Amino acid sequence: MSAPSDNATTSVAEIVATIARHIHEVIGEEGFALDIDAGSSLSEDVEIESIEFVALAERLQATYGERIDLIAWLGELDLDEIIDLTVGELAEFIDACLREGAGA
Amino acid sequence: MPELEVGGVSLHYQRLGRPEGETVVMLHGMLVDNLSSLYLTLAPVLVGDMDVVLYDQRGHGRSARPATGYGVEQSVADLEALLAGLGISGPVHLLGNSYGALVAIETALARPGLVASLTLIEAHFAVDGWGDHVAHDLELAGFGLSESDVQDWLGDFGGRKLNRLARKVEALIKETSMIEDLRVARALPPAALRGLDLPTLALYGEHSDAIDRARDLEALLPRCELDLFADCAHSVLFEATRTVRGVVADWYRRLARGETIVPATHRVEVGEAEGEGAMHQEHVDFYKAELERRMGAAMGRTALRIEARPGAGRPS
Repeated sequence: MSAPSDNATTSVAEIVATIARHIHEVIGEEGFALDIDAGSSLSEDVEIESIEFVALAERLQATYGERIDLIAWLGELDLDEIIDLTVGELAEFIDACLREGAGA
Repeated sequence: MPELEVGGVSLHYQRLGRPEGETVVMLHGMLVDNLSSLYLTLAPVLVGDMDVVLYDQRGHGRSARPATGYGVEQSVADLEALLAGLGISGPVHLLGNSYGALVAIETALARPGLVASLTLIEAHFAVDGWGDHVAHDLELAGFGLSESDVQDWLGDFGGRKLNRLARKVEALIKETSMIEDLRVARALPPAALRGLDLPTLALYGEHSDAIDRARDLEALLPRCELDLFADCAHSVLFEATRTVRGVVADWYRRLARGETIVPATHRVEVGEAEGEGAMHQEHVDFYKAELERRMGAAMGRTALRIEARPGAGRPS
C-alpha cells in the first residue's frame, strides 16, 4: 500500500479531479476527449468497462491507502447501484472515509 | 496492475481481503467474462474474513491473449501455476461461475490436496458431447458477430463498452485455438464425481440451460448442497446478486465453523427486484434460433457453391 498523499483537508472537488485523472489514464486515448465532472455517470457518460472499474478502484486504493475500503463498500451496493455510480458519489464516499480517518 | 508470468503468459490478478485468512480463489466464466464480475458481486462480501484471489484467465480481461492453450487442462495448469507463483500452497477454496466452475471441478479432481471446498455457480461440466456443443456455440457467436446487421447495430447503438466487448470476443474466437481446444474436451466420467468428496455448494437458476448438470451433481457428489434459485436462469449471479451474496457468505461462515456438510437440495426464493431468468432465457433461445437458421442457410449456400464448382466432389 503506498503512503497516503492527501490529508483530511482534501475537498470533494479535489477528489473528483483525482478520480477524473485516473479515469483518463485507465481508459487511455479514448478517455482524454471526455469531460468528467461530479455528475458524470461511470456507466452512461464515461462508459467505463467493468474491468476498467477494477483498475480505477486499484488506483484509488493506492492513492488514498487503507483509509478507504472500496471493495467492502461495493458489497453494500446492489449491482444496479454500482453501475449507476457517478464520479461525485464515488468522491463523497472517499471524502467520508478520509474525514472519519482524521477523526473529524 | 498486479500480474504474474505463468508459462510465458502474463495473467492479471487481484488479491484482496485478509492475507491471514483462508484463501478463496474466484474463477470467472468464458468469452464475455473476466474477473470484474466476481470482483463486483462476491469478493466484497468475503474480503472481511478471507484472503480473496481473483484473476483473468488467459485471453480474458487484462491478461494476455496467446494464440493457444484454451483447453480445460491448460486452464487447470494456469490456476495451479498462478497459486504457486503467489506462494499459496493450499488447500484453497475454489469458487467458479459457469466455465470457471468447470475449471474448479477439474482442478479438484486433478490436484486432490489443493482444494478445500467448491462453490459452483451454474457449473457446466464436460458430459458426452459437451466439447462439440460448446464449440458450436462459440462458432455461432463468431458467426453472429460477423453478420452485417449486428455490425451495423453495434456501430449505431453499441457504444464504447459493447463494441470493445464484441472486438475482444471476436479476437478470442477467430484468433485463438479456443474452439478447437474445447471441442476435444474429454467427458468427465460419473465415477470421478462420485469420488469428489469435498464440501460443495452448487447454485443454479431453476430455468438454467445447465439444470441437468445440477441434477448430476446432486446425484453424484457425496457432500453437495444444491440451491435452486427461483425465477433465475444461467446468469443467476447477476439476476439475483443480493441473494447469491447472502448464500455464499453464509456458506463460508459455516465452513469456517467446521460445520458438517451433508447432501441437501433447497429452493431459494429471490428478492422482489431479482429473477426474471425465464424471460432472459427465452430471449437467448430466440436469438440463438435465429442465428442457427442464418448459419445453417449460409453453410447451405457454401455447400451449394462447392458442389457447383467444376470438379468438386470428385476424389483427387
